[in-house]
Amino acid sequence: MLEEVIQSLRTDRRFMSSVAHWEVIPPRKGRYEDFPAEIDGRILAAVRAKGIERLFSHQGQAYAEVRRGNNIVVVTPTASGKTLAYNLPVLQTLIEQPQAKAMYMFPTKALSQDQQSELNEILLGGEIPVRIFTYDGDTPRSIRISVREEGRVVITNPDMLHTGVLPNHTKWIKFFQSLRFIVIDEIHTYRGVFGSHMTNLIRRLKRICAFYGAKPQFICCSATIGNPQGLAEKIVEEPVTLIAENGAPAGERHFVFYNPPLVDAVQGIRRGVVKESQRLATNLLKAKVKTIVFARSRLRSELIAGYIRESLKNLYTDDSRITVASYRGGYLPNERRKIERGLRSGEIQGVVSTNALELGIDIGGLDASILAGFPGTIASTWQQAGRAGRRASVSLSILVASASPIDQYILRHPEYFFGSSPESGWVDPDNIYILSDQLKCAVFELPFDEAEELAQSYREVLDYLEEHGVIRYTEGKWFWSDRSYPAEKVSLRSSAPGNIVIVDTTQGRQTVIGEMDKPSAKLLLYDEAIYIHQGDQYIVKKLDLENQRCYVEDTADNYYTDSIVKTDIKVLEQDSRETLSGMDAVIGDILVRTQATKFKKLKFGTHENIGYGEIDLPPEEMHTRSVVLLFVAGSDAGRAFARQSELEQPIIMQRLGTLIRNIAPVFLLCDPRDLGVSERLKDTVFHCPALYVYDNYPGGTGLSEGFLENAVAILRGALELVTECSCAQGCPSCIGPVGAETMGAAAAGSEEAARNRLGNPKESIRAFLASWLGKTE
Amino acid sequence: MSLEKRLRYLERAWQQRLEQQQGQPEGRDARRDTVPRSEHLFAPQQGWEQVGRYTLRRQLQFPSSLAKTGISEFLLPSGYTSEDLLFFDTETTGLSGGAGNSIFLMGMAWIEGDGLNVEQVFLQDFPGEVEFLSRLAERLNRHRVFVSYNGRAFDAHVLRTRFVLNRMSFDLEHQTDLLYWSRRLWRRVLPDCSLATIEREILGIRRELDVAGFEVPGIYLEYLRSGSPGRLDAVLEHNLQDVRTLAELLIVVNSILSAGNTIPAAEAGATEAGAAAPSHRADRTALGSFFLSRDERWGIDLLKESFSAGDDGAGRALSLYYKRAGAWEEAVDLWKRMALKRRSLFAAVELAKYFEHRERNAALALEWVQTILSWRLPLDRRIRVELNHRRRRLMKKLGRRVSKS
Repeated sequence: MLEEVIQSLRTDRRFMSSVAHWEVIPPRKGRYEDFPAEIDGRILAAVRAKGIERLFSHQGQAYAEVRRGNNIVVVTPTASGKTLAYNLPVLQTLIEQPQAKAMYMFPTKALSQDQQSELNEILLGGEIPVRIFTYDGDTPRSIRISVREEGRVVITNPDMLHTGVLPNHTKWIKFFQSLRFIVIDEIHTYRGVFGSHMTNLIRRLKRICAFYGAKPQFICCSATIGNPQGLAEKIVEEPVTLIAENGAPAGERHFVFYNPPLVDAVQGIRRGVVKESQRLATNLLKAKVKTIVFARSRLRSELIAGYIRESLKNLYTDDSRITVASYRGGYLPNERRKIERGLRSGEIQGVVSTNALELGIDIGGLDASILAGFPGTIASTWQQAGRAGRRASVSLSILVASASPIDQYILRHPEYFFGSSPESGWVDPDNIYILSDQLKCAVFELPFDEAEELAQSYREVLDYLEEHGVIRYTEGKWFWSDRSYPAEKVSLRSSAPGNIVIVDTTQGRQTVIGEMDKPSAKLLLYDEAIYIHQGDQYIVKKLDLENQRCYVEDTADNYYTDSIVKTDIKVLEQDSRETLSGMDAVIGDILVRTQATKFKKLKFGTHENIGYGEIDLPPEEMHTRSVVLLFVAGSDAGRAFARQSELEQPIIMQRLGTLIRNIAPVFLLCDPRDLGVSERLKDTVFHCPALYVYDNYPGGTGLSEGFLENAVAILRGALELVTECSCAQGCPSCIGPVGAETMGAAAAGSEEAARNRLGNPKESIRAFLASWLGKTE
Repeated sequence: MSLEKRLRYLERAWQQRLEQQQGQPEGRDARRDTVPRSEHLFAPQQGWEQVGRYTLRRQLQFPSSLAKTGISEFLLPSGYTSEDLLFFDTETTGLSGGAGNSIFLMGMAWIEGDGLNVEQVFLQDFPGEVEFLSRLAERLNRHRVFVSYNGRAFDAHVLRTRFVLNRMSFDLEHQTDLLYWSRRLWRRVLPDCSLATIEREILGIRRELDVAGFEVPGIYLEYLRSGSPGRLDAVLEHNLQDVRTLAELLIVVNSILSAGNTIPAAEAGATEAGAAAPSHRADRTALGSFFLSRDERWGIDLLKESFSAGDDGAGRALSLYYKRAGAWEEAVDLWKRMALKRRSLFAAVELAKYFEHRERNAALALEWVQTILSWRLPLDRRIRVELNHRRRRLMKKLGRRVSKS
């Protein structure tokens, strides 16, 4: 089926004229091992009942390493049977040792539920005496006691471990005493600030296990990233054996880079990503190809799904029986489960998703994936593309480029994408904000003894906490000495809890149809906004932020809405200003304000603008820490900047921002998303060119301070990167791809002309940095 | 970045946060090395003795009628004697649960001779916890029934956590939580069931020097930090009174439960001098339902009395008891009274059900449904839907029968 479709695409001249690159990744044969002889007959029967007769080599290897007592990290693509790689050794051990327990940790609740049903399948199939429970915020109080007392495998998430389990560990004695395995799935999600919290959380977990005399083994799984072993070892702080050789077979994969056709060749305007992705997906679905489309926002996922349904509706053939769902955050759990089941069973043939389906939720095998725009990282791109493709058959992935410079760069330079390794994940468990918060939680759970290794490493921090009276030092021990419950005030993630509940009030109904986090609600659920949910349109009657409710009603309007968002930065407090490396650096508090003030009404189909509306909502404010780099007139940096032509100065500022965003995470051990960067050619507070680098977390997490501390190294690193990057005029890895300035600054003349006038931006920025930093050598 | 430098930044951030919150930086006297001193507070004249490096203890005797009281089996299950009772109350460093919440003061009371003995054990600093807990265990191990106020949900958990954390074993054999009894007896009578309200309204106890419960952790932690006792004396007093109150409360609850059907009628109570005579304020409906649930027939009398006094809840409870027991005649009679005299929706619905399903008399059943509708009560949606559904079904049944005949 798909083979034929691929053949016909190959010969479709119209399609091929838009194809920038067509990569064929050859099929890979599976490498197999027999089940180890020792495996319990009941497990074997259950696994065989699922049609599994042999193990893939990586599953066999994982089994052997775990049974040998080693920590492991398994890194193989989606659908390669990672789950069995850990379920097999865990269940075998749990059967052999009737007391042994295991904890499974997943980054989201959705994944936990998925895992529970997967495990139940194995367990219900046979007669394996192992009780599995999920323990998270949704677990009813009435069964929590049995989870603690009887659970052999407890599935949870880091947030629940942090606020619910560890602070109450005395209720879990039985569990911790005999905890043998800790499974951390999707370990690649624990990067940056979240990952730094995670490392500390694992430290706390290990302390509690040690208290009860247990020393569990770690089994980690990761999607493809640059440094899986490094990241796993950073998070569990023990040696970890890497298992990266994928033994699962894979069919041939066709990866097509598709650039929508030009609509206006002079201005370089192309057809939109939404319409093109919809068109491609519709054609695939009509040809009976099961397809997943990844959209870059919730709104887009609903739009694309709606368009696909619309274009299928007009068919008076069998094709109209094709069911297409949208899938994104904010759906109620039941609705999500239903879609996942539908995809597995084949009742649903197409799905349009945000990155919510990027992680390992089991949706069965799909044939094709369409990426509506570059997902932002190489790792995500592979992960999303990997959602299509079964073991034995051919698969197709199409990356539909948007007009953004990064998308266009990747299309022009496929070798960049296929040649680079995926991004690495960094963590900095010693980040002082995170560390001090986490140590409070640790002392709460168990007093620190001077002899303890952690106490010795972080004695200064403990002293510091003691000075502030939350812990008390006597006779060689630190005791929790505050009335509060510290875990409650420490959030592992940036987004604060507390969702807005969306209520359908059409004709007096009071039905909850979905939910959304507060910052997003302000941008998507303002009064009169059109909210699209699984293809149904609603108009927002009232967003009640105080009571966390949004009331909507059915509507049949022919438009959707999109808000216009403004972000501005206000300097609240300057703590210090110092001169270093020929520039001035200010550190202090800023207020980052994001506000939607207006919205556009856009006609479905044509996307033409048919009106505006006002939004009257308070801005979303984040009070955080920032470091501001100032190129003051007369300083080395200022003089180097003044030397550049006035035309180039704005470009240099903008490019420097991208460059810093690319290089700083390497020095700060954070994730690029943990940092905000904002450039000002003429700053109104400091009256000179200024570059703001700030913590993307309320209150700050010490990244700004870290930046200041490492400023010289970071700037030198930036110069080195821009000098050594192998691209010609800029690429996503250094200063950003060419095209960025022609988009923003000069619409006059063609792309080409603008570039000629401006010269090579990479050269300009290199010259600027060299002339500045050269002076301060 | 060096740890030292990171700490400097953190220090700065902390100061700012504090300044924003309180307008001034926190004092630096929150230092270690300050050994808590409070000799006069824990003076031997007050009964205190040092029983460990960090543990103080005192025993006090109070007269009490408890020793001479025969205790109801609802409070003291058979197989136990009143010597098994231990009243206890903890004071802790926090108000939420969790491993970081410690007990620093325990008050325990038991019957000795013809009086009440109270023992308080105080922990002067955290390192003394093991010896502190051993002292508690000495006392706890001599008793088998543990009486508390909200101890099931709070104190027992905290105790258990402390013992586990210090690798000591411990078990509260049988618990009697007086909060449950108070709620049952007085929830509908008093604004709330806090121990303070019960003391004031039921026991007539007035406290002179007292602290609010939520202030307690702060007072102790401040004492640890500064070494000066502050209002710790009030906390000791507070805890002492709490355990004594528990004993008093048990006597009152016991008198109500033991009285059975001999509880004097409410009207009679009003004539007595003390208007707050506790037994007369108890929720007789709840009491009646409780007795019925234990198959004590005098619960019927209590419910009847409550019902005549105007409590529909009592009628409801009683009728449901009749229904369960299969005493249909009594049940129907009661429902009719409730429905006709008081327009009780519950009773009318029960009658409709009764006539439809037991008597198989659709016409009478329908009559009751129509009666309800004729009352034009503001019905909530679910009930309205149910009623209409029942009405349609009954009409259909009747229609069929009519057409057949």
